[in-house]
Parts: sequence; C-alpha cells; structure tokens
Amino acid sequence: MTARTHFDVLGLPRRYHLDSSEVERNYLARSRELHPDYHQLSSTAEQRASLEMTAALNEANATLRDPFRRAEYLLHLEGGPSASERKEMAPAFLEEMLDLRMEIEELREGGSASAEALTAMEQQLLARRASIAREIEQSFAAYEALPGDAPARSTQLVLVRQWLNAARYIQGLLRDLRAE
Amino acid sequence: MPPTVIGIDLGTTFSLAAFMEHGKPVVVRDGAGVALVPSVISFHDDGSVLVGSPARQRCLSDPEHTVFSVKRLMGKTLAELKEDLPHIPYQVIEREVEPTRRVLHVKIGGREHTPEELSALILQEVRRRAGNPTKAVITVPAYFDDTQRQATRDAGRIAGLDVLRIINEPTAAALAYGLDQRRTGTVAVYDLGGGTFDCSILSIKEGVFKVLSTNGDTHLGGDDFDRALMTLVTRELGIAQTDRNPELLQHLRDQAERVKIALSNNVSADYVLELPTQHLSYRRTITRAELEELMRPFVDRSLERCRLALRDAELTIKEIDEVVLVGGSTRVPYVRQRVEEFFGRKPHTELNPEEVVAMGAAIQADILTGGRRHLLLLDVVPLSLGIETLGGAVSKLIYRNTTVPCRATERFTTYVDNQTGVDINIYQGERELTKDCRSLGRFKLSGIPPMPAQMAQIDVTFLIDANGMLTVSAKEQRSGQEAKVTVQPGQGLSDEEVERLVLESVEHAREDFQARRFIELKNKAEITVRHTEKGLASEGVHLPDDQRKRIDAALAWTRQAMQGGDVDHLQEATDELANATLPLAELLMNAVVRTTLQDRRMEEVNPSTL
Repeated sequence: MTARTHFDVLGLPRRYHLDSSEVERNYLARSRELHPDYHQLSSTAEQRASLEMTAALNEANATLRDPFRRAEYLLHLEGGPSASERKEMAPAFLEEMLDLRMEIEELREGGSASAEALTAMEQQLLARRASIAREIEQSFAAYEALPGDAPARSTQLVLVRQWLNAARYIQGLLRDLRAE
Repeated sequence: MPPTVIGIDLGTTFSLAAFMEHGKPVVVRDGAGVALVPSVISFHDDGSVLVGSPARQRCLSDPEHTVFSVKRLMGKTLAELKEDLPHIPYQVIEREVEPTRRVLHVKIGGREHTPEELSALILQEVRRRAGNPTKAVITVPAYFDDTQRQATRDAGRIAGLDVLRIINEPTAAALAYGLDQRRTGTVAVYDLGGGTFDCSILSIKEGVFKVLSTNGDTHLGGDDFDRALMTLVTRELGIAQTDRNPELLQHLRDQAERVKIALSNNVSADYVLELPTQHLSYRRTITRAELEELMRPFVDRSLERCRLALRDAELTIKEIDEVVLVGGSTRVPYVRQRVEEFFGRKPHTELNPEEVVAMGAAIQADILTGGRRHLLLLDVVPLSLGIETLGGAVSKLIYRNTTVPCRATERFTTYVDNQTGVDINIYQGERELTKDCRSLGRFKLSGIPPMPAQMAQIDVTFLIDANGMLTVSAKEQRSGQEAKVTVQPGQGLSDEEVERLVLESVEHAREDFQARRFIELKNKAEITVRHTEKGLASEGVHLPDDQRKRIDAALAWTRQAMQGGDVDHLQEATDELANATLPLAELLMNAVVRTTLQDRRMEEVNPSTL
C-alpha cells in the first residue's frame, strides 16, 4: 500500500476546508472496524494489520482535525515551502508580536502577575491564533480556486507558510506564558 | 461456572476482580461478601506465604515480614524511591544485574523478591478467588509510564495469567459508569487511590469513550494523608522517622489510617499509641479541621493536575458535563467537597469508588473476547516519548495525549564506514533534558548492512500499542533489510527472567511446558490457517503474484510444522505465515471498512429506516 494520504485514510476530499463533524464521523466509523480491541481473536497478521492501520488512522485524525497540523500537512503534500526553507513572517505581524512579547515580559517580571492578567493574555493569544487559522483557510481557498498551472498558486502557498510561522510564534509565546 | 476471563484492579492498598454475567459486571466476593483483598503479603519462617486480610493482620505483630504498597515499587529504581523508604518498614535493595540494568528486591528473612513477583502473589490470590481464570485485563494508573506498565504485565504473566490488556483505571471507571445509560457528553474522572492520582477527561458519544487528556501523579494518594498524620505525631513525640524502627512505624501507620477513616464520619478522633516494649504511651485528639489542613496541599496538587488535564483537552470547567469519583480516598468528605467546588457540580458517587475500576476492566475484557461491539475505548499515551540527541537533550517523537495505538518514524544514519549498529536511548516525560525524564532503556539496532558512513538510512518506527506500551522496529531503506532491535531496559525483569518465573510458578511446574506451548501455538496456527484460507477465497485475486506465492509456501510450511512436535520449528513457520499474510490482512480490513461504510450509506437512503 503506497502513499495513502491522511485524506485517503479518512475517506475525505484532499482540500483544506473540512467539515469537522465529518472528520470525526469518518474517524469513529473506521475505528469501529479497525481497532485492535475487535481483532484480539484474529490471526497474528490480522492483529498486526489492525494495529498498524489503527495507528495510521489515529495519525490521520490527529493531523486533519487540527487546523494548523492540517495546513502544515497539506502544504507539504502540495509541495509548498517548509519552515526551514521560508522562515519569514509578515512584518506587521512581527511588530505586533514584539509589542506582545514586551507586555508578557512585564507581566512576568512584575512577579505579582495576577492570575486574571495571565489568563487575559492567554485568551488574547488564543484569539490571535484563531484569527490566523482563518487567514490560512482563506489562503488555501484562494490557492484551490486557481487553475493548476497558475503561477500565483505558489504565492498562496508562501502566504500559508508565513501564517504557519506566525502560528508557531504564538505557540511559543503561549508556552512561555504558561511555564511557571 | 467460574468465569474464564476477569478484570483485575491491582491497587496500592486493595485489589479485586470482576467478571461479566448476563451482560453486567459482577464483583468477585468471598463468603462474607467482601470484595477487597488487601494488597499485603506476609512471609513466615516455615516458608508459608499469606496474602490479603490474614497478611494484613500480621502487619502490626510482624512488620519486617509483611509487605504492603508494592505498587509504589513497580518499575522504579531505588534512587526514585528516596522519599518512600523512610516510611517503609521492610527492606528494599537494588541489584545491578547487567551493567545497565537494575532490579529492585524486597528482602525478607534472607529471601529476595522482586516487586513483579510480589504483585504476582496478590494477583494469584485475586485470581484464585475468582475460580482460577486464565485470562485477565489488569488496570494501571493512567499516568503509569512504559516501565511501570511492563512490570504490571510481567506480574500478570508470573501469576499465570494471559494478560489481554493493560488499561487505565480512570478510563475503566468511565466505562463502568457509562454502561447503563447511553450518555453523551464530556466527563472528568477524578481518581484518588491509596498511592496514585489520575485525572482523565473523556468525551462519550454513541458508545465510543474517547480520552481527550490525562494527567496525574503516581506518587499522590491516601497514603500521603496517613504520612502527614504520622509526621505530625512523630514531631510531637520528638522521634525521627528515619530511625529504622519497624514496629513503631507500623503502629504509627495503622493509627494514622484508623484516625483518617474515623474522621470521615466524626469531627474528632483519638490517635493512640501503646507500645510498652518501647516505653511509649501516647494519646492525642485530632480534629477533622486539623486533618483537612494536613490534606490541603495534597488535594491542591491533585486539582492542579485536573487544571492541566483540562488545558490539554482545550476545555474549560464549564464544558464538563459530569464528574466521576473513583478510588477509596474519594470517600474523604474534604476531598469530595474540594472536587465539587473545583468543577462546580456534584460528582457522581452512585457506584462504589473502590469497585468501579474492576467493573470497567471486566467490561473491557468482555469487549476483547468478542462479547460486545457497541462499546469502544480510545485511550491516550500519558507521557511524551522521545529520543536522546546531542548534549543530553530529548527530541520528542510522540506527544502526550496522543490516541493509542500510535507511531512515529525517525531516520537514523551511521557515522563511520561499515558501522553495523546504532544505539538509541529512549525517554518518557515532558522535560527538555534526559536527566529530567525517565529512561525507558537503550535500543540497540544491529544487522545494518555495511556501507560507507552516512549512507545507511535506517527508519526506526516507535509504536505504542493499545496497552500504552512501546515496541521498536527498524528497517534500512537502501537495502530494505530489517535491522534487529534489542531492548536493554534500564530496570525491571528481562523477558527470560519472566519466562523462568512463569516456569517456576507452582502451577506450571506440573506441566510439561514445551508441550503446553506447542499446543497453544498449534491452536493459534489453526486459527491463522483458517483465516488465511478464508481471506484468500474472498480477496486473494487482488494479491500480486509474488505475495500469493509467498503465502502459499508459508501455509504449506505451517501445515507441515503443525504435524510435528517441534515448538521452535512451528514458531518459525507461523512467524513467516504472519509476515506473508500481512498484505492480505490489510486488504481484508480495507474490504470490511468499505462494505460497512457502504451499508451505512444504503441505510441512510433507505426510506424504511427513516
């Protein structure tokens, strides 16, 4: 079995926008057939196939369920740039983040950072991350609407890359914020 | 008729079993209706061994020959037990078996017992009370790492059990609670036992129990409440607990436990020590408020774990629909009150918190043996798994709370010409450096075909199965050759040692082990041959020629080996058959998925089902 994509494994169309309830429905329906719990009495090969295929199914579900992991995966499938190839972020975003980082440092340096202030900052970061997910969705939509040979397609993929870099940056801030 | 398969809750302080009868889990009880077997073992000069209540009664009179809380020792090294040792009256030592592997032993009357063997004695007693079934599902704290799970499974094997699955205690509890009602929603399980704490968040939907996150502390439980009381008393008495005084220690423990339990129903209780041999007479009234003050830091710690579990599940407290209490320590009113305050809702306590885990394990055992298919458990790995990279850093391959089974593949290469082996150190934990994570041992890859440095491409696959346990396999990509992987665990028993102990156990000594293995293997081979023939009939046409030929050859070889009596020969043949039929098995599975999904679609458009 060569090169089954996560989309194939879950029986979903290969595109960015997915109906999350359909992802879950397809995942559970396949789990109900493949899961090792139901193949405990089968032959060794069937047990192994069940284990391997369920592991693949779980990986597909974990990847496609999450908007950022799904974007990263699809970007890779479509031959877009990797994080090490294109490290840049939009300049306006970077400026915004530098301000945020200062705010976080002030919060933490004060020592008396109130739980409310930290929670508020966490909420702010999570909201920003969610808005980036929408940017990614739009960039992919624009990409998918273009004909296969349009040169503008690669521009859209670079845009996705930049937004994914931005999401990673926010993830890093969140991690710093949560670290005690 | 006694059950053939049971679920076992192997607890720090108590153990018990349950089985399915008429579709319902039933707890195994003795003639007096008692289900809980104290996880206590006592050894006697005449060589006899007592397990359970009689052993527990010996705790006070013969503390040095009585072992309890073995679960705290499972899968641990002596260094990791530094905090526990002052509280343990029996002697724990560590032996270096191989340069890299340490094994713990409890030393009693000149004899040494590993934690796995001691747990096996408890499992044997639980098993005996259930009428000696041969198959079992055994529960562990969700936060147990690979080594602790391995030790538990080994204990099961030594007790003569075919361990069908290791499952997580909070998940088992959720299963038991969700059985009657077709609940849908998000459930938090707060499981505070004698020695361990778990919090799991699950979503339940149409019979699928999906764990979203789990967090915990394998060193937090009711034992800590007892110890806090003991510390209070010893401080007042001016005794250092580090003095090795087993008799005093055992009396201190006994009173602490008694007072704790009494304070669940009364506002005050007396702590009484009368030890004339040690010229000690002490009496003190302890109020419930005083005990609650002692418990506060531990309960705080448990709730902090709940908060982290919620965050990993990306849920807020308001999104939790139900809270379930599990474990004997949740009988403490203060614990209940704090949990209720934290989650803002009254927790479920309809089922006995000490029996619910075994009941869930029985249900899972039923699922695994084909009893019910409308329920499905999807659990997660509790701790991230990574490998050591340069400078003692850990590179994570599988993140915590990933649904099991799961896998990750990492590519390795060689550093010198004609290098045929690579060592990989594997760690479990959330921290960045190896020194802050737990070592799962060293995996040695060998049999890499000789080639120039950097040329080899060895893909190493780390697979965590439904037990939450790791297996590693490796393949060199250029040659397509499977590399051999040998595991060198940092602690615990080797496979050979477990095998030897299984052999030594009384029950198997009477049988010819080889003959038994052959029969088991032959039965298994018969199933495989039958499945393969059936599979070939339905999907065989889709197989490429070479795969078909390989299967036919392996079938013939297996049939021939089944006629003989050579275990190793049959093992080789069935191994080859398993490998050869893997592509066929995948074809079959895919066919099943296709058909079911089609059926469902047909149902959807069929007006009669609307």
